[in-house]
Amino acid sequence: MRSSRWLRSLACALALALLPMHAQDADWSALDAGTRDLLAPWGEGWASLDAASRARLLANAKRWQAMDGAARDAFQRRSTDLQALPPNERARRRSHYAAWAALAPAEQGRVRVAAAQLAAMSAVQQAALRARFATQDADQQRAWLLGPSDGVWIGQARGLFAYVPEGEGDATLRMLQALSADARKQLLVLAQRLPDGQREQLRKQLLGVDPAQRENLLRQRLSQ
Amino acid sequence: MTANPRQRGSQTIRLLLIVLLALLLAMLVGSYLWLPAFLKTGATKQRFETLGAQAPAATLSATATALAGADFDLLDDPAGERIARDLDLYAWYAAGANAAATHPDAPTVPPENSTPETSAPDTEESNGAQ
Repeated sequence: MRSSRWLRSLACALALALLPMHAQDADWSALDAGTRDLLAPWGEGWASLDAASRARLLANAKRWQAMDGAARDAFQRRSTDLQALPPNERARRRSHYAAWAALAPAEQGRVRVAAAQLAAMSAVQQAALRARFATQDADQQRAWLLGPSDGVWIGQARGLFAYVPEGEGDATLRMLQALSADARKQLLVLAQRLPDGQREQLRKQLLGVDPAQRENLLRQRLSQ
Repeated sequence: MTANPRQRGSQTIRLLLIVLLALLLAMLVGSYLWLPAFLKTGATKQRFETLGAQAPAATLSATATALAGADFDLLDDPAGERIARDLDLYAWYAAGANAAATHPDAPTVPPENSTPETSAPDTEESNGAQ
């Protein structure tokens, strides 16, 4: 009780402390001249832009200013190349990059190592690996976009909840991905004990409860 | 034998209706025989003026477009983007090649339809990678 009040006070203090920073971002005249030049098209309506858009534009402008001429030219070339791609390939690259950016640094490291190992292989070995990868079903292939650890976990969990009703697939995937390492282990043990019908009930229960309560629920069910 | 005023009124209306019907029939027949000149040529009165070509109100420079574009992160990280193209394949390979050694959630149940058996690259391939 006391700790929650303390946390609330801390949050208010933080919000008050951050308020002037936001106000400063919203003030066009407070930006330096170089940034104002770059963002001139938005100057007139700067204050009316939402905070997230202003932050994104400011961050991008900062990165742009840090580039030299060659880097900017290369950036524009990559942009032209991307725009020249067929829409489905462009969408694929965007979604894959978003998945990559969402990975934890350690997971990115593992993927980098794997990429280097594959690059060192002969073309025949690479083709053989790609062919083996392609033998997995489309859902499992997509699950690997979550990274090596979550890809393994989702593969295991998909075995437990093989027949998820249409429309609940994404929610189930998010729920499974959000489980802690302990909760994942508990779920694996528990699911092995349950017949299919009860396993499906458990999945629905897990979807229905607050995410913070899922581990408790699994512990309770295990102790029954 | 003179008609009373009510009868005379209804006769007049009937006569008027007959004349109107005859007129409409004549117009209908006439529309098959005569076509106005403006419908023949399509030369109608010009009520609308074509707008002259003009420049758009504002155009963004290539730099401004880049700054505002949703692809800024992707374009600013070519190395990451190149890996991301085959992220699924690399993640599968990373999990399969050394899952038991490094994966904290190493499988306690064999997956029914997916990973280790099919995903782990065989020894030859792994050795080839080293």
